Amino acid sequence: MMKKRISSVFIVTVIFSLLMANSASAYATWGFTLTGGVKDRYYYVDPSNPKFSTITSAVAAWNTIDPVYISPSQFSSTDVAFYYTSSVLSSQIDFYTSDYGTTGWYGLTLFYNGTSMYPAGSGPTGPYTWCKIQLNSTSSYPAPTNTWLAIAIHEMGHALGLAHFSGSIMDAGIAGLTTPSGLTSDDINGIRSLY
Amino acid sequence: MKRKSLILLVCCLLFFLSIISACGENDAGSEQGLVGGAATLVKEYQSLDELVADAAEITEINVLSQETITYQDIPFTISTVSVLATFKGTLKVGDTIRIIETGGEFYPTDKVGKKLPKQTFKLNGIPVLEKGGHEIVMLSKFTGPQVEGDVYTPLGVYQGRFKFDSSGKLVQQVPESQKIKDYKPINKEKFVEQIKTRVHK
Repeated sequence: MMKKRISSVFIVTVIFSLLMANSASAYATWGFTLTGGVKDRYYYVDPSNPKFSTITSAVAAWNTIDPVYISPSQFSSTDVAFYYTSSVLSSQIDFYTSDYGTTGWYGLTLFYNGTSMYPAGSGPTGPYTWCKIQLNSTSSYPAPTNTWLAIAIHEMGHALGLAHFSGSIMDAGIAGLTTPSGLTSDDINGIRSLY
Repeated sequence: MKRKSLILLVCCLLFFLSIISACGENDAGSEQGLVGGAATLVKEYQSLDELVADAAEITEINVLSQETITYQDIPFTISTVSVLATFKGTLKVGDTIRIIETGGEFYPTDKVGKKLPKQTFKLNGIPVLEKGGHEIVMLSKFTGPQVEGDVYTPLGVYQGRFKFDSSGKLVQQVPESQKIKDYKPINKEKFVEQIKTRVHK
């Protein structure tokens, strides 16, 4: 009788624990979102931008999730959809690339609400309507293509509302990893928690 | 029988506690202070060993004057500093050098290049050196199109900056999540001792 009761408690505990584990959040957000959401929106990058193809691939990574990592029940490609526009006035995320020298950073994201800018250099402190992503293309920081792709995905993650979190594409040290990852389920869950 | 039940119960409790504890670790805050900022560093330093090894110069400085320029929409502050003491490198006491950092006051622009209200840019929330500031800095040579001549920059954007607080202790100027793991604020004598030990390794 006693054994049966303990077994029941064990089974209930295991089920409860698994449910708790699934609901745990392994991501961090700014706590604020892109006004109007992340579906059917636009990004701008000048075709002469030296990182044009990397940026396009980064946007595609957010638009289409690899089913190897993410099950369709968690995320569908319609959750995030950014289309290219050649008009900077119609976009919500603008990518720029310049040689800023050996500043110590590869990329940063700036947040705006209409014609006002949130405290520069940090995350937004309220809802925002557009973002500017600046990539540093100095030749003093040569990086493999997959690292640049990870940096562009990372910065776009900031623009979508994610903050730094270790072990995901939002890892602050993503550029230093020898084999930076693509999107993880944590990143996707972070976006899903926001929109 | 009783012993078996007890073992099962303990296992059950341990399993439950480990899951709860994992959930606690994974729960992320949404406050900026917890999560750093919106910039990706080229190298994120994890230890004092790494910083000392990579530094071309380690020096105690006093900020004499500053100028902020805006280059390609980003502000850069160039501080002219006097060298008060040196712990690694070729600089000498009494030298005057320039240090460039990303940040400072500037006028951002909107999508059509229209000037927006003045802002203070703090990369990942960390302000640049301030006029009159007294710090020990670990520097590398800077090369870039926005400034000519000999200029230095702190290692790891700001990770190589240690500022004297009111009690004389040196506090690393970084977001909480990017502090090096083997350092806690200490006074100058102890800090210099730690640096010298590593320089002579």
